Amino acid sequence: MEHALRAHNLTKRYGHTLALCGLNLEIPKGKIVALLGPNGSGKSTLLKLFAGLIHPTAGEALVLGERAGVETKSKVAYVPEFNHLYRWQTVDEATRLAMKFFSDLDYELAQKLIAEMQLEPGLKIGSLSKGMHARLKLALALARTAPVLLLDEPLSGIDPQSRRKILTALVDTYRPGEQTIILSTHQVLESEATFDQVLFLQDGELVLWGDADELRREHNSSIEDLFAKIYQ
Amino acid sequence: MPQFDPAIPIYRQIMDEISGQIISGKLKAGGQLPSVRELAQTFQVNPNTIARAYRELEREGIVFTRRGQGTFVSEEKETFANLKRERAETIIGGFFRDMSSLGFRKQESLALAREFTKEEGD
Amino acid sequence: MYTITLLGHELKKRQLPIVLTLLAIGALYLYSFSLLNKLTDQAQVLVLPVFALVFPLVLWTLWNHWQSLREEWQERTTHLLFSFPVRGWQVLLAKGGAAAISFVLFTLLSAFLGGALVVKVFNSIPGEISQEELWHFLFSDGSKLYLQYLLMTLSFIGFSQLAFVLGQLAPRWHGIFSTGGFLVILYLVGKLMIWLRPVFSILPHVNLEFGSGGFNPWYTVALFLFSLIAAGTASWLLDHKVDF
Repeated sequence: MEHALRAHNLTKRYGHTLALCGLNLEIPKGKIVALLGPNGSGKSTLLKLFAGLIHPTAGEALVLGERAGVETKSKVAYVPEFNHLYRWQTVDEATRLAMKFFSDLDYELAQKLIAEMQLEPGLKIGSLSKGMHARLKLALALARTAPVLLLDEPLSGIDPQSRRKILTALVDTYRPGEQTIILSTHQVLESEATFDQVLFLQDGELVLWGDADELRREHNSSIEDLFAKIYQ
Repeated sequence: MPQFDPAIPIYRQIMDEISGQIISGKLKAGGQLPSVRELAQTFQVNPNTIARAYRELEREGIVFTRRGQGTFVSEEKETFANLKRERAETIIGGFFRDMSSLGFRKQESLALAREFTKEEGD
Repeated sequence: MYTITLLGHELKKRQLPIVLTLLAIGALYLYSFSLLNKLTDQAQVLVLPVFALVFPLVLWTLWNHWQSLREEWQERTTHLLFSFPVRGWQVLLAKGGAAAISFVLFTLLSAFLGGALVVKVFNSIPGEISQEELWHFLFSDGSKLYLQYLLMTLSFIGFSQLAFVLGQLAPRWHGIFSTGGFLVILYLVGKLMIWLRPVFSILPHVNLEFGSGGFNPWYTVALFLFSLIAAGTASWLLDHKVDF
């Protein structure tokens, strides 16, 4: 079976800091995976490598069997932790810009999601709050049919209402079997029912990895508690 | 929408929820279950987890799928009886476990339960 | 296709400064025209717009282009731009193209208004040249010189792209490394030009029709070719080395 994402001896070094060291992992198609770990554990680095935004120091990151790069970008919807949209554009202009580069972006679905996220198409992106930014970024990513969705901390630093809206939209638009989603998060409890696999990263290494429900059964605890136990 | 206990496999809790609905008669024998997507949306749970719960329920013979039509509650009478019995066993098991944590032995617990039913005027 | 989309995006982002610059150029010439009747030596009127426009327009274009790169990194929109399935050369070509288009707009407007001013000045001097001849010289010689001016500006844009990208490869102090890189590149290109001088002197010169002057166009041509190499290298670095 072809995997959605595969890391083979994946290593990333920034100057003297080793962000990822020799990571090996395989993420099957059609799963929602939670990427857990404290700050600096290499979560963003891993997502950026799969998004083709940074280059591995050693090893390789494969997206649907292809080395991550320009060719795989049309198959990946990547949402960084911060606002990466042009502040001078309106919500609608940002949608139209993304549509010109991603032929899989469904404009009508985007409009629907933007309305559900309680955003106005005419709003200037520079004027949005952090929660609104987070909702907009997610709406634009979910409006695509890209087989791989990479979400970096989609729930962090925003109000509970925005978090709930984001999780609802994620579950509602998710296409089981087709779409593979990795979301890195600190808000484990709120998203417990959203993911079906879990990756625990620490200091650039994989410390635990498995099916969420199996881990709950084996350890007799929630993923939230397991998270606390691992990183205490 | 039920609140899930994150310490217990979520697919198991969904199985229990559906079994509960069958026992209580909310879901009738031969009746159709909601689609995976619908249930995922009502429970706000990953559709893969719902699909897994349905698969497990099917393996246990509680539900069955008709290709292209959906998932249905089993029409076998034994299924219903078995479910009820299993549920009863779980409740009784829990009762004895809780009682033993209070320091009662099985016989003492039973005696207390008998007394309790008398007081209730059963 | 993506390059055109990116180019449109760049121009849209820069539309306000472009329009304001065009208005400023217009205003400057309007002022110069208004001075015509007040000065005894009317040729003086040319000094202001020529000095104000030739050099500042190049600097202004370079500055805007540099800013358009810097903003992407500073505002972290690189994470959007490079999440699109585009290559480095498409991004750099679009940015360079937008700078070139705005520069051509600025300079064509000032060349036209400047030409009109020159004709007006010469008209008032009872003279040997007719208005038609003057326009002809302005057009034929002017366009040759203009092409030099344009190629030179484009070359600086190309070098600045490489300098900028090199600065991004540094672990920190990107701005300092970029600026330093720019100076080093210019120094090296200068050295290269001196080294190539014997070759250029053999190649034919371009003659001007007005008077008997001429110039050697090969320095500019070579400069432009080097800048293409520089921009190509910058594109390759964006695709293979730069982390966002």
